[in-house]
Parts: sequence; C-alpha cells; structure tokens
Amino acid sequence: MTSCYHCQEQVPEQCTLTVTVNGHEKAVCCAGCQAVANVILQGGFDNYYKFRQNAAEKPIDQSTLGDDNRYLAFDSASVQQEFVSINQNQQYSADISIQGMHCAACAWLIEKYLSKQAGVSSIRVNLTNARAEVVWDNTSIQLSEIFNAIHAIGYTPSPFKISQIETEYQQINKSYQKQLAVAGLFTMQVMMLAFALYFDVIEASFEYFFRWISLLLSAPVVFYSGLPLLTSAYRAISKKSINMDVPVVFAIYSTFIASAYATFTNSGEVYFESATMFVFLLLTSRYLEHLVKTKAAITSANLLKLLPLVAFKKTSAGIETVHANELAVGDTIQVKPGEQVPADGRLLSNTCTVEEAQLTGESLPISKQQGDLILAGSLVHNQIIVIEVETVYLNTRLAQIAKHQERVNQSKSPLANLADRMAKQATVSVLFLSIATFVGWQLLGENGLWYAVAVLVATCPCALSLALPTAISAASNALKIQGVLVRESHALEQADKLSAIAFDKTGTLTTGCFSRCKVYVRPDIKQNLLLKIVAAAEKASNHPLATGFSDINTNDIQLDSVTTLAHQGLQVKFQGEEYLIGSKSLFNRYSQQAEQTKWPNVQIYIFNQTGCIGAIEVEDQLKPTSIECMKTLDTKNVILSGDHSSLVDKAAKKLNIDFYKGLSPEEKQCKLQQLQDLYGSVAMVGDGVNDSIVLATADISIAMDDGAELSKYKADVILLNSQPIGVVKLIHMSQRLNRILKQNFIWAIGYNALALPLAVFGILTPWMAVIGMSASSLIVVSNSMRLLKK
Amino acid sequence: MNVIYVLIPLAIVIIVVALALFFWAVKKNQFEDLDRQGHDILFDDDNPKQK
Repeated sequence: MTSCYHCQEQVPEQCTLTVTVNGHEKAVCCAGCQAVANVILQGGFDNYYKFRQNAAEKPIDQSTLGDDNRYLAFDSASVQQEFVSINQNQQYSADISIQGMHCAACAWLIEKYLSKQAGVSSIRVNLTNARAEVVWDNTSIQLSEIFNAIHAIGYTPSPFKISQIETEYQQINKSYQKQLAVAGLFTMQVMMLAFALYFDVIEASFEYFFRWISLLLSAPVVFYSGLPLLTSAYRAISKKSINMDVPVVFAIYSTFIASAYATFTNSGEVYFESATMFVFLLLTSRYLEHLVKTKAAITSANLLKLLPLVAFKKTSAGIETVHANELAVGDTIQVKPGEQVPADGRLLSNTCTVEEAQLTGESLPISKQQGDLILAGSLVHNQIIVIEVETVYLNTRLAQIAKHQERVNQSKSPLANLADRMAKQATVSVLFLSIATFVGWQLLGENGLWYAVAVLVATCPCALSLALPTAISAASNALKIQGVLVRESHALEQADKLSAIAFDKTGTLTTGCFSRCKVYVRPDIKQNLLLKIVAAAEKASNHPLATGFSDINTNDIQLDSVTTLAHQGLQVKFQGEEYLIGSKSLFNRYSQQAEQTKWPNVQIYIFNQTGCIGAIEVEDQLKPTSIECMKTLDTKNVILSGDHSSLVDKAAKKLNIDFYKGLSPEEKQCKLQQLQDLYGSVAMVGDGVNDSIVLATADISIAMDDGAELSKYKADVILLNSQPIGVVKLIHMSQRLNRILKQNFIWAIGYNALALPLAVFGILTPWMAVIGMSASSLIVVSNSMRLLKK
Repeated sequence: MNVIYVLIPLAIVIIVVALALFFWAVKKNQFEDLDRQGHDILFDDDNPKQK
C-alpha cells in the first residue's frame, strides 16, 4: 500500500486520486489532501514537501462541509471589534491562532502563501506559539479571504485575543533574559578574578586593583540583575509580611556592602563572587519557573479560541451579520444547519431537529415544533430555521452555566497556602538565627558578619524552591508529548491520590457515533436489502444514527423519495413500495402493537404496509481506549451522563462500571459532591457544556480537546487527543512525580539542615556555602529531569 | 605583568559590547521563536525569480 503524498496516511485501495509533482503522479488519500496539495504545488511551494519534518494533518474535505463561506461572519465590523485593531494608516491587524502547524516548513509555507495574496501587507508566523500576526488592507482583501487562504493550504485558523497576562509575561520574560545575561557574563569575570585572589596566583600588588575591578563588575549584577529579588522582598516587607526573598536579599546586599566597604578601606575580606553567583543562580531558577508559567499561559490561550457567536439577523433590508451580544429581544434570526444557535428563543419555523448534546448530554437530536424554546448553544440539524429571540447573551442558559462555573471555581481553596505559611515561619527563624550568629561571634570578638552571611546562604531554600517547579515542568512536558496538557500543576501533584473518577459518556467515553449491535427482521424479509434501504435513508437524513450505517455500501440503491416525519422518523419510497423508518411512536399508525415489546432496547423500527418488519438496536461506539482505561484504573469509576436513553446502560455494562443517567448539570454536581463525601478526592472527565459546572466542582477536572470551549475554560487538564487513556497516563506520571518530589525535598532539606550548624559555628565560609548550594540545586534539577525520560 | 591593567579593562569593554548586542536582540524579539529561525536557510530561494 502506498502512503498519501500530503498526509502520509495509507491510501485506501479504491482511491485513485493523484497529484502531479514535477511531472510525476503521486497518490493521495482523499479529495481534501488532493485539493490542499494542489494549492501548495501550483503556488510553487514544493519546498514544503522537501523540508518538512512531520506529515501534515489530514484536512477536512471541503465538499462534505458544504458551506464554503463559514468564515464570512468574521468580516462584520461588530464581530471584528473583539480581536482586530486598526492603525492610523487604515491597516488592519489581528492575531490568529493556527492549528495543524508542526515544523518550520509549515510556518514558511503559511508566510509565503499569504504574503502572495493581494492586500496582505505583512504576516509573521510564530511556530512556538502556533500563531500568526497578520496585517492587511481591508479595501483589497477581507479577513474571511485570509482565513480561507490559510484553510486552503490545510491549516485551521481561528481568531483570538492575546490576554493581558500573556503580554505581561512576555515583558517579564524579556527583562529576565537581559538580567540573566548581565548576571551570567559579569559573574564569570568576577569568579575569574576571585580565583586569582583565593589561590594567590597574582602578586600582592595587584590585589587592590582586582578588588576594585570586582566591585565594578558585581555592581550591575547586584543592582540590575538582582532587581526582581529586591522588588519581591520589598513588596513583602511593605505589606508587613515576609517571603523567601527577604533573607536572600539580606545575604546578597550585606555581602556586597561589606565587601565594598572592605575595598574602600583596603581591609578585611571580599566576597563579591559569592554575591554575584547567588544572584545568578537564583535568577536562573526564577526564570525556569517563569518559563513554565508562560508556556502554560500561551497554550491555554491557544486552546480557548475566541469564537464570537455570530448571529444572522433578519431585517427589512435582508440578512445582516451581527455579534450575538448585539441582538435584542424580539429580533428574528436565521440559523443554518450545522450552526450554533446564538440566543435562546422561540421557533418560528414549523419544525426542526436540534442537537443539545453539548448542553444536556442527550446523545440523540430532539425534535422541536413551532413555538418551542430553542436554547443558545444547540446545533441545528437539517434545515434553515428562523427564531424569535427571547433572552440574549448573558441571560441565556449557556451563559448561566458559564457564570455558575465561575462561582464554583472561586470557592476552591488552594492547598498551596499551607506551604506558604510554613515557608514564612522558616524564613523568620532563619533571620533570627543569622542575627544570633552575628551577635554571638561579635561577642567572641570576631567579625560576625561573614558567619551570619554564611548562615543566610546555607539556609537559602534555593534547591528547595527549584524542587517543585523543575519537577512539574519536566513532568508536564513529558505528558504533553503523550497528549495530556496540564494547565494547573496541582492536578499533576494530586492525581495519584484520587480515589474516584467520574466520567461523562457522550464525547468522553464514546465517540458520539453509533454502531449496529443487533438487527431483528421478520422471517419473510431479506435482511441485506432492508439494511441497505435503511442505510440509504439515514444517509439522506443526516441524522447522527446514520453513522451506524456508514459501513453499508448504498450505491446500488436508488430511493424514489425520502420525507421527514416530524418527531417520528422517515418515510421512504423504494421501487414503488413505502417504508417507514423511525422511533417507537410510529406504532401509533398501526393496529398491532405486539412487536413493540418483542424486541427490547431497540431504537429504530422499520415498517411497510403489512406492519412492523424489522428493528435495529444501535449502541454508542466506545472510544478505542475506553475499555483499556477502565481496566487499568484501580479507582472507583462512575459514569455521570445527561443522556436519558438505555445507551448509557449499555456503555456502562461494557465498561463494567456504575452509572447515573439523565442528570442535569446541577444534578451532576450534586452526584459528584456525594462521591466526594463517600470516597474523598474525585476527578471528573467531561467534554460538554453541561459538564462545565461539575468539572469546576471536582478536585481535578479533565476536559477533552474536541469538547466545548466552556468545559476547557477552567479545566485543570486537557486531553489533547481526546482519548480517556490520558487519565491513566496522568495518574502514572503523578506517581512518578511524587516519588521524585519526595527525593528532591529530602535532599534539599537534608542539605540545609546539615549546612546550617556548620555555618553557625564558622566551619562553612560564604563561598563554600554558595558552592554547596549550587551543587545541591544542580542535583535537584538533574533529578527532576529524569521525569522527561519514558 | 603590568599588561593586566590593559587586558582586564579590555575584557570588560568586550563584554559590554556583547551585552549591548544581546539587549538589542532581545528588543527585536529574536528570542521569541527559537524553533523556527534555524530552518529558514533551507527555504531561501535558490534561484530568485525576476520581479
């Protein structure tokens, strides 16, 4: 079998699609890949294929989406207000997050392809952040055309807004880089001079000169690179509080000032290198910690795409595109199939089917009739509908769930407070101890300052403060490669203490697709033909249950007509004969009801003129790793589903776990709290809007990447490949992390405890304390890095 | 050994120049995307087309 030229997946056997590369025909696996590859090759960007390091993602075939203008809504000014800025030259600029970028070749391709589009003045693609900054001229190109261009070469663009916190982080990052460079380069010089002084390799006449040079070189380190430490300590003291930086700052500045005094008066000893090295090492650990934070902020910003809910308002002039928050009660809006309803409202069209899976967890679409309430956030199924708006934006059911989630989240008490308090007490005692050391040695008639400084340096919790962030960053990096994104590190620390895990069903344990498990047919009917008719009818209707028939080839079946019967099913004509396919309610049309009870758990019934001739039982398709996940987990596992149907029972039986079904979002939350009372620490794995409240309540919340934005918004962990097996990976990594953390803490605390008496009694001089501290930090860091290995 | 009075200040001057360059690079966002720039040389147009 050959692999696809574009996405390198295997080409299906019956597929004969090709693209022409330098005169040679190369096979591709689908029309989507063919279209994308053709755009790339015809633009003269074949370098992309030459230099890329990863295969491209399989693009979604445009033709199955039907709607080629789905980005059109982003052209409207009220929608753009949220993420587009206009400068004085009337140039528009926006940040776009781009999905599907894997290597430098992708970034190059996007930049080159877009800059060839007329009207795009500049584009800068950032591979690390998976983002692009586009500047364009709105008179010659529309934003939707830019989006379509990115889409045409196989990537998925979405607009988003850089958060305030992220800009701040970037700013801090830059100043850290500069401060680190200053500290690193100058410390090296000071060390060089100090070594010459220590080992008497230079003549005594140079000592005075070396001291002055050292003073000159360490001043920028202490006063410029040390600024973050100084401000942090100052902030704590001005709030009449104390933090880890206070003794550190005392140690650095008293060492520097005393050394400077010794230089001026040409007496005593100097320890410039200790002060600068201390600053450099501490700054390194702060920078590492900050990098972890920045990375997390960027990834989560990319995940939470800004999807302005767009509404198509019906006005006298026609249809107008507006932002959903500009709608007013009484407006009439139109929603097309496959789109989200932007506001709660009453249905004006006759009938329609909507999918509320995200809102309620119900796996099958629901029929609505004229006058029924349609909730914002539901997906419209098979026809264009018209709705009269009743509640807008912040008052919709969707927004209320979001608000509720926010409230739950704030009430969460962070465990970190305890560690903070303990560190504070330790810091206070360290300060007292060093003062006592100073006074003690002073009374003995010696200069107590260097002993006091040694105490401050020896007790510096540098290794201790590195222990947690380095281990967490190594563990979360290792997990990210395995498809688990950790957003809140407490989840990683505590996952091994979980005693129960609650799962949502639709979209979490199951794929949302269906498969046939049993087919019942009246003995006089041919099963194959009947299945083909049903399959052809379902395909025409676009109903989710149709996924259960996608394996049947219906090319040789030509249906005469298919009509939808509201609330009931489909009416099909095939070779002159009429069939009805649908739910139980179809029995009302027939006199005999006997078959109704003959086949339990059946979802689809088939009738012809003679009555019921067959029935089909379907079941949720489990995700490939669901069963393995349940087998490996030794926690108490429970399904909390919003789905009412017997599909929940079946899925639970297959997975061999307990279940609760038909729960509203609030009931889910109650159930979870009951579980917390019973078992202790409980995690929730979910994907829908209806899970967002329960996710916020859980001790650890885990969301699926292809789930609703709202569920991801506050999730601690996001499973990037949306496979439940990620939970197992998280727990395993958490166990390893806690082992490493224990080792780190024992080592760091042990070192401090050992060094402290030595420093108090003057055996440990400041420079020895500094070297010991750096060695201890290095050991902790390398121990943490072991988590990166598999 | 008196040459040390020249060499050490010279070393300091070089370091200051290096730092100035580094600060400039940080200011120009050169450290924002470390994954990408290394590959750019591969994509240089080998035979630039006429405009």
